[in-house]
Amino acid sequence: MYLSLIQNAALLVALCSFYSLISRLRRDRELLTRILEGLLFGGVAVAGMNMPFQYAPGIIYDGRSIVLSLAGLFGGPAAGGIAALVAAFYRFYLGGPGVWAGLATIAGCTLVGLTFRRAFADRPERLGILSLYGLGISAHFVMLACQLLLQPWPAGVAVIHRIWIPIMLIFPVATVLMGVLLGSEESRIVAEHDLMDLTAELEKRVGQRTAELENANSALEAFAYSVSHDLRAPLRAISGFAEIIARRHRDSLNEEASHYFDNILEASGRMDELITNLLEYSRLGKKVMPPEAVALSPLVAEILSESGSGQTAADAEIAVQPDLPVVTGNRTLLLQVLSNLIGNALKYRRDGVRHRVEIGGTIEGNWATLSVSDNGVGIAHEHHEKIFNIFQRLHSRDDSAGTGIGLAIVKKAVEMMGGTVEVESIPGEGSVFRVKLPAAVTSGNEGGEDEKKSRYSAR
Amino acid sequence: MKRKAVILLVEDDRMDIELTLDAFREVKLENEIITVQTGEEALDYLLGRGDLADRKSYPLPNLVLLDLKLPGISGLDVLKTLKKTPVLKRLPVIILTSSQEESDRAAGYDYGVNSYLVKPISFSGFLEVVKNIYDYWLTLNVKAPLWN
Repeated sequence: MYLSLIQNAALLVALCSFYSLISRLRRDRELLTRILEGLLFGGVAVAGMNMPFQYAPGIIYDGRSIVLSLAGLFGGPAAGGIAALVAAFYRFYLGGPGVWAGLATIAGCTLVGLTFRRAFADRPERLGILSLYGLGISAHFVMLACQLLLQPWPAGVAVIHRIWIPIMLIFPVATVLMGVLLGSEESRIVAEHDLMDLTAELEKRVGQRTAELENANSALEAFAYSVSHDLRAPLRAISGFAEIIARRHRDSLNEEASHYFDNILEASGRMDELITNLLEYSRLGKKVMPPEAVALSPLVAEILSESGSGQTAADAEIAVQPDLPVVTGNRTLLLQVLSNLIGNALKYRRDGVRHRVEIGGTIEGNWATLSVSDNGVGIAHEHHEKIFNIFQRLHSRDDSAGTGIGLAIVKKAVEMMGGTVEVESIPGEGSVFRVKLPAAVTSGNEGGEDEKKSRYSAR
Repeated sequence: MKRKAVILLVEDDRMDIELTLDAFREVKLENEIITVQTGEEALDYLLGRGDLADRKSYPLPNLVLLDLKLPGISGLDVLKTLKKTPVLKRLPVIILTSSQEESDRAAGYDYGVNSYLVKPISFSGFLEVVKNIYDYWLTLNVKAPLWN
């Protein structure tokens, strides 16, 4: 008797393992999973019928009542129905005088399971121990009733009389144990599936949000682009005609009018610069720039020779490290980055100090760092993040000319090349801007090519 | 006496027209400048449609200054038609636009424009452009033979 008890217990544990294995698939293939579950429960019920345990000589019982009530509870109508059918077919095949009582037990226990499932709103994992015990009691009450009513009279009465106490003592407890096992599996699976649903939902939302952002971004770029073009036409008229008056009719203007015309010209010049920068910024996102090895030294030399003649470089000491790194990036983007950084470094000066700008670079592993530092006005710590946002100017318009787009261009261009830009600055002492970019592979021909190029451009 | 070179200016913006004409006056160029404000008018004039067929009153220009952003038929469409029309395809066309867009530049040259200029923002810029156009396209450059 103990051996067969252990056998039955092992069978039920196996049921749990297989159940958890199959049920994992439920999220994607509900029907298939339910069919497999039904076959599993049915198979276990059949196996249980093949290893019954003997309570007393001639009185043999098996665990099918437990299995089928739990099949109804956990598997629902589809799996419970299939399990019941499998078990019923087998019981019918076995035949014998108890066949009708056996079939009725199979149907009854499954129905009890289904009823409990319905009562708990299809969430069988929420049944507590007491409810499971109630299920066990109900299922085995049904079983005894079937035996009583359908066994040949009066043999049934005699049998029931002998077995009802042990049945009602042992089987509901076994049902509870099995139910707890299956229930914990079920709640784990449900939790897992909830998590998967959440993850999928989250991914979907992230995808949607990304698409929205991309749309908004490209709409913004298109907007900036068309604004830049359409703003130019009236600006051209304003500055063009103001210039004609200032050139041709200067003599007939009094001092005030003459001064105001100069103001108009100056303001339209600034507006033109603003539009140029805005256009540049909006154009940045429009094109795919293929990465190439770019030597920074000739680029810096080019920028300095252009700005050298202008006012910005006047009276400043500029120190450039002789061999700046060769980086992987794009020449056009790098030109924008460098000219903005160097332009800024030359622009924001402190009174009473000889202005000094240093340009240097290092290579560390696969990364090159370029630094542009100055001893100018500096930037307060709370502004260090903000300055890279578009239209973020820290100085009043009269202090220093600037459009508020330069550093936004720098940041966007650097990020397009897979790099980062950061600032270190103390107000009243100066600023250092560091651009980190992937270093170019300098071995082989590439480096040589670059050197050749820079030699040519130096001539 | 030889007639002075005639220029057709295709430009929809009244201010830009005035600036261009003024620049021509300022550098003392007395070329006849015919102004049209749409692509359709430009094609009507160049193809001599309707009343414009009389080349004595409406002479074929020696040079076309063409804006790209025009209402209706765009500057690029005008250019495309010109370069496909046998009698007009040797006529030098200069795009004068505010667009520096790569796509516009590419299309302009693909359709066979002879020169691509960006409208300057200042009047002195206009003077320079006009002078250079005159010096190069109407003086230095050797004209293509007329189509027979």
